[in-house]
Amino acid sequence: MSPYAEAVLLQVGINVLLALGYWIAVSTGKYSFGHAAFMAIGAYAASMLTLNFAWPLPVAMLVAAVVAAVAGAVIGWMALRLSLLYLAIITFIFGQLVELLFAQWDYVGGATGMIGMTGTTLTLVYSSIAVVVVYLVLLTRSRLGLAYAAIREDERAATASGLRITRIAVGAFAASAAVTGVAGALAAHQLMIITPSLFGPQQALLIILYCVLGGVQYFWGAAVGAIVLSVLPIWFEWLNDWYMIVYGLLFVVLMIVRPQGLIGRSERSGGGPLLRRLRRDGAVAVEREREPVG
Amino acid sequence: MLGQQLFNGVLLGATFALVALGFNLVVGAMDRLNFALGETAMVSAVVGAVLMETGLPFAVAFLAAIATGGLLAVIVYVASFRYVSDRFPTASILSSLGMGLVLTAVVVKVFGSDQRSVPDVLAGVDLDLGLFRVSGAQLVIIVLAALMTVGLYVFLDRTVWGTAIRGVSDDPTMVALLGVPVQRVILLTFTLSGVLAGAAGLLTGLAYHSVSPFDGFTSTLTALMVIVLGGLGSVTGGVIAALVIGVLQTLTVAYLSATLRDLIVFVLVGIVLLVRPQGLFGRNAGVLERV
Amino acid sequence: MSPLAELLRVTAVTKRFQGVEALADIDLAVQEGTVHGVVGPNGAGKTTLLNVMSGYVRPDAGRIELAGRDITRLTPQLRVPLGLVRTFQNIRLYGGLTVLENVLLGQHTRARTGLRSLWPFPTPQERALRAEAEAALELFELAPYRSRRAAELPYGLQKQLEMARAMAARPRVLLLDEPAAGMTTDGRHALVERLHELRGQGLTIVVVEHDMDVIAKVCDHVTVLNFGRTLTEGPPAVVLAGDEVRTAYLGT
Repeated sequence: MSPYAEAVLLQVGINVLLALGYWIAVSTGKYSFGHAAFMAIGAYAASMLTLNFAWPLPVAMLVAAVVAAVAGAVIGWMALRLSLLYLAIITFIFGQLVELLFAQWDYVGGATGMIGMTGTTLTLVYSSIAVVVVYLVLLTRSRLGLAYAAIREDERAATASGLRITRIAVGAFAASAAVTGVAGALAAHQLMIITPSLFGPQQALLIILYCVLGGVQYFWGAAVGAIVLSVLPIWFEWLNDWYMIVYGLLFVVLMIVRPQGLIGRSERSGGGPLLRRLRRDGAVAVEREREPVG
Repeated sequence: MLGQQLFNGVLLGATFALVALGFNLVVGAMDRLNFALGETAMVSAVVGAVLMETGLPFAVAFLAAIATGGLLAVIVYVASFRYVSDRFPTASILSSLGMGLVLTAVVVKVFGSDQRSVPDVLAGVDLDLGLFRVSGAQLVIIVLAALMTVGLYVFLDRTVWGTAIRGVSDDPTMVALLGVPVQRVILLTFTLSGVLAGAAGLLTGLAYHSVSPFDGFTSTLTALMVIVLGGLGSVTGGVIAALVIGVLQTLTVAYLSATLRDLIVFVLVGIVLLVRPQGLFGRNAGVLERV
Repeated sequence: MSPLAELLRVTAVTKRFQGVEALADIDLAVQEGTVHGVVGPNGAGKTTLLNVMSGYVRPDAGRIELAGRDITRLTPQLRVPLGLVRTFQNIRLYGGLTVLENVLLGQHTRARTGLRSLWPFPTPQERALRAEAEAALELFELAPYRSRRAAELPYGLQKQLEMARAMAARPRVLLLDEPAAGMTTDGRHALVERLHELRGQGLTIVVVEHDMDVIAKVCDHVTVLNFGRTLTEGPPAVVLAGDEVRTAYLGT
């Protein structure tokens, strides 16, 4: 295999891992806007171990998963007790905090980052994906996966069924962070050089876009989205500085036309949200369900 | 020295307050976050700065900046809110983040990615108030920020449209049944939030004498921290939290270290989230009673 | 009567919303194995009372006891495993999930639901629960819709599914919020029969309801609320014929 093909396959594989990891959180209906932070945590944790302590990469990856999971659980616990808007704000802020901390931490090279990590192989990347896929297949068939879906569907109903929502969602968030951390570790050892700014808001948005483009209903939809978005830029290199504009508009169009992603059933019969909105009378367009009291 | 630092901090906080108010207005009316508001402020600042460079008076540049802000907010509303289903609460956030990317990229494309300097105003003025000195630019910033904040309060409190906005935040269904044109009220809310952001953008540029295409992101981040501290949707909480953060940042830079400036705010926000998640002045911030 | 006669007890509960007393010093005792009706005009505090019992609203004062245990400060999800399960006035199903999945989620507190549930081969316990869920679908006449999304069901069947899901938790006390609302005459008949059936199995039921006919047919005991206060209580035949109820509903 040519080095170029190998590099592409590695990149695609890592992005698939990112999308699958993000999907775990999304399957509970919780969107994080700072998942690149868990990637950074995994990348730095693993790089420290392989560079400074000469640990083998697979072991360092496991540690990266654990560290990222702990960070995910802490942030999840802080944010998931609150409303979805708070989750968005807190994860967004967390992303910046992590970037800032790594940039000011001299041990890991500050803003110049770390250099010299190697060892990411196709075997390592694709066996990680295999493990995660097996986990996800089992998850979607289990009562835990059903509980995730219940929380996504209707939290109030879920409390009435006795689901301990915060606990379940924090668990999902930690698992999601762990997979993202592993992807970060692999990315670091493929890139060979990492800086804090690699894991900034643009990377966070990319992770979301991988997952959301394909569709959040099935985990393989997220994987498809990641593959498409990793391969497309190769053909669209001529876009160069229009790149960010296209990406941004992709978000905008996607959210109007298919907020649930390209794969998966449409949200309800009777046309998409746009059609329903247009049909509705402008004055009474805001419908919110409210539980009556008294 | 301390007096001067405190004043500088309040000045910084006053510009933060404007963006945070913009966020909170939209949260109030729609329960949504407009993540493109920081970029809206940045574009407005660039427009204002370009006009000032051509020699136009500051007043014209300022009006152009707030008009730009209002217009962009309406565009973002149409692109990211109006036609995005409310069954997906995070869809508008994603979409507005996308709009933010687009705005930043467009500015980079048109004006390049370099910092752009913002000309000084009232350069000759230098008031000595004993405890601290006020430069001409600072005078303009503090007066305009205060005017806009007070103006917003009066508008929300005393006018029919202001009452309608508050009504829509309380209970949109009820207000719609009473015949209030909810869509138009929401549009007005977005316009106002954009006007505030536009003003904040240019005033911040004035304070730092420069504006960069990447400032949008920083303003969004700061505004979000202000919101967490003050309480989501709380107008008064937002203003106070903005002043606290402004003063804290300025004092940290002056007496501790510039590298700690952001970190200390993160720590403060973290503590508040742990101890009082609804923020210092929040009503309940959607804190559900859960295990 | 058994020594555990009082299964659910509400003592001196008060709840204010922005200064308005939705519940003022309410006392209520639900006897085990009975159907207890709560009636009253709109805004009387019926749903608030149900929300307080199920944990969705925390009272400003007073206490709630289940089988002698103080549960006032427990969240809704912690009351479910103790046997206190509710339905909602405007139906809350997992609309995107199938009918069977809805019932399986009703069993949540009785099943293994953590990471161990990922093990692909079902334990005997899990097999029993799945069989029970299928049986519940038969019982509630939902079997033909087993794999349909809950949101696609007609209204009457959605109400039935919500009750099936609640029953899947094996409640000791079932709290029903307006189960007859929006039902056809046939649906109401079926509901009355179903409630009789459940009561026959020894289930304790609290039902908030507007339909006096249903109340009269199923309740052993009725509490009448008005403006957040207990107006009167007793056997339905006595209470519903009394002047207080007519006054509360019609004014004077």
